[in-house]
Amino acid sequence: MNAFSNLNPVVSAFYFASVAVGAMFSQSPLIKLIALVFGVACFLRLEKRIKAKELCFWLLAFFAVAASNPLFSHNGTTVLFFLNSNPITLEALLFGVDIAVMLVATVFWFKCFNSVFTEEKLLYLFGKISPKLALLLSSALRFLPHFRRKHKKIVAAQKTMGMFSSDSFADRMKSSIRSFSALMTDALEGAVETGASMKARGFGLGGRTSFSLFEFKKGDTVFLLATVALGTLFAYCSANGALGFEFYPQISFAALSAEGIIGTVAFSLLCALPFLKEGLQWLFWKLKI
Amino acid sequence: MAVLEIKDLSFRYPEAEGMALNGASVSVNEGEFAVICGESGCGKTTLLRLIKKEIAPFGKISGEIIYNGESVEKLNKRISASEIGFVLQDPESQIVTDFVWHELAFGLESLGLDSQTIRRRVAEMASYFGIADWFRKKTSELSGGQKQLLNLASVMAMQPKMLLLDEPTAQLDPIAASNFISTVKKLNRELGLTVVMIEHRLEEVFPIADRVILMDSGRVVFSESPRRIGEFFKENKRHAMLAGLPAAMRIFGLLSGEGEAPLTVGEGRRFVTEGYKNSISSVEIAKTRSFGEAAVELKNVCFRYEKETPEVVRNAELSVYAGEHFCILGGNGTGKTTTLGIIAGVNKANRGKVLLFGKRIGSYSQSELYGSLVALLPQDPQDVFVANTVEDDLAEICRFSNIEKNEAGEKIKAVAEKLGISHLLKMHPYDLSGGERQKAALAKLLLKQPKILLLDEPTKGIDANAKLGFARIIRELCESGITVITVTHDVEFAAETADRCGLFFDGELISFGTPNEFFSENSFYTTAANRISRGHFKNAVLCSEVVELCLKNGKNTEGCDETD
Repeated sequence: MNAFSNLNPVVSAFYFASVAVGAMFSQSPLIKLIALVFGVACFLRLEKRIKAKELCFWLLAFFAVAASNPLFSHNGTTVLFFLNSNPITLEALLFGVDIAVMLVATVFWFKCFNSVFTEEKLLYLFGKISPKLALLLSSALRFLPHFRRKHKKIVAAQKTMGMFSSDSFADRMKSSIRSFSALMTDALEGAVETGASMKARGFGLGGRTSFSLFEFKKGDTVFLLATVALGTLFAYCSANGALGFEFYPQISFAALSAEGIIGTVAFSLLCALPFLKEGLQWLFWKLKI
Repeated sequence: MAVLEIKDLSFRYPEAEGMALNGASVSVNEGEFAVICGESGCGKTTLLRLIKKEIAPFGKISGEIIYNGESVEKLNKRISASEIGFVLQDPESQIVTDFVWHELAFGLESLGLDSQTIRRRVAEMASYFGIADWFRKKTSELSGGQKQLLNLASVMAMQPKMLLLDEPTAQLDPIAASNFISTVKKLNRELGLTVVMIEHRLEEVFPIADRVILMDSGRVVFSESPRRIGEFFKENKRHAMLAGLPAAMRIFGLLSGEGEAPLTVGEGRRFVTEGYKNSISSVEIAKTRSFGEAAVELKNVCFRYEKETPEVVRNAELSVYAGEHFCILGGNGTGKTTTLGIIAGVNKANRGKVLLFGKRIGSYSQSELYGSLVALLPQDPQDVFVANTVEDDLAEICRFSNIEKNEAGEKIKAVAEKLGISHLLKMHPYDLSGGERQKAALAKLLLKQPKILLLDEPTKGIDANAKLGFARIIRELCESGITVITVTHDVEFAAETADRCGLFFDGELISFGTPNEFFSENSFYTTAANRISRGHFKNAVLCSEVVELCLKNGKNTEGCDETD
């Protein structure tokens, strides 16, 4: 999705957190439904498609969660029928569906987060917290693919040397240990060189800064302000009880009010923010050309 | 003005018996391109590292290293870090971070520059070195050549005034290596950067170097323009470095030429074609040795790594006979190493037949195959070693090859003597130099007494003299009946040692022939000696052959005679 690709990771992270928190802690089923719809839409926009396997899994999960609540919880006053002399209530059934919607919505927003947050962006976030930790992670992440490749090479070489070819388990175990120790020696040897290369480039001089390709641009400010404004508005309305919803003992909800409508609209806009951003960008280019 | 001055520098590693440096003195002027060469173990790396105090080895030091009028030891840390750039040998382990852009910024972050400055410098470096295309890639996805270029760029981002390079091309293939060398030359020419570089590829660096520093047992024995090195070798005719000189110079030296030595192929051509007659234009090829049965046969072999990936080897046909040394040449990614893997049974052919001594490779059991039939020396000989000393490693392979314990000691001794590594047996495999490591790995392979020996790039990163020694060993092995198949980029090595050569291109073997046939038919993919004598002589491929023909024909006294 274009909307996130040129957004500062801090802003994106804040945005995802706001939406997820909103969806998780709101009482209103409508809010959760909105979160689910936009979550799925956003995911499709980011990944272009959803795998059939994944879709099946989440549908299954949805129904499993929705169905399990009335089986275990017998609160509520409207009894639909009895199962093994346990009452199955309408309230418990609807609450199950509500939880399932919330769960799947949150999952999809996290999937979006996952898709947007490449390693690079995650490291940038870590760097904001601790530059040292970020550097450590960065070099560890460089090291892993190298380690894997080297292991493959050593095993292949040792195989042609006659290792791993014995049928005895003990011999093969020994071969594995041997090649692993060779791998460790190589890693240590490499680490000495890496250390030299770091020192040669002034590591440890003091006053180290942390550089990143991400900048805080005007677009980021606008997006951040919009997130904060819509989020606050929604939180204010929710806190006022305008979006209150209770399942037990009987379904009851706050009467329709201006605040309730404003809160719902604010949350919808919050969820739609990436789409709005993209739309505006598209319009901008359309008008310009 | 001398930017670097080394006065009477001696150095001894702790607990070492001999001196690593023994009164070395040299000075390098500002803007010069200086090449340090010498046999392995002559103290080149020690000298270079001592100049950069952050990575200087520990030990007993005497003498002075003066950079820009100031002793290196007393140099401000920040100045030393930024003004003296250092590129190490291994492209892989020098990289610190996981993204290309971050690697470029690493040194600048250490210096504590602000984001705006770093951004500008990183951008500048990326465009200058042409790495804008892979700027956002992960460092682990780069090729060896790209990695080394990145290392150079990230050092250059710190805007050094002097660049030190320790055999930066040793791990690279020839194309990536010459690309790297020309980038360094460009930096030297366009920015006036002082360059001090340790390098084995003298054929390429001699023509562009302003100064050649030749080292021998801890001393600097020559430090002048490369053209004058001929004079040095005239007095030291048996010097080990002679073998590594550019072909033009070697021919010049062997013919006892007078005046300035030719450096490039063009100059060498002029020297030979104008100086010598060509009434006898071909070398007589000694009758090729007769070989035994077919040891390795590939019939219509195809291979791909995964179902969706393109074919790496397609319809490869090859027969190699017992006792023969066959060299497979070719560019990068043409499937040479993969083919070697197929013969070794590491890669399984998707189609076609692989026969070893007339039997399908699949019909041998693992222990038969790797017991005493096939041995493969991988590109990185380090992968072969698993123990803490060379001796333990060799003992280990004896155990695997079912050699009796009481015999093992004798056998190890014999092999070590044959390869000339007896003095290295107590050392850790990782402490050996490139050439020594190659020999130790070969010793391990030979203890299995294989009938077929497969070598992948055996000359990578070893100097000319070690290469000669290695070539001699291979020839002896072939004479004792072992079949050797070598995959190499090294044209000179193939010309020198192969019985037959083949060119691998686009997944198949295209042309075959004895080195003399093979190389004299190629016009680019051939030895420097052949390029020098092309047109003048018919099939001279080696320096010694050119020299032989020149001597037979005698000097041209009247002028140029171009008729064949």
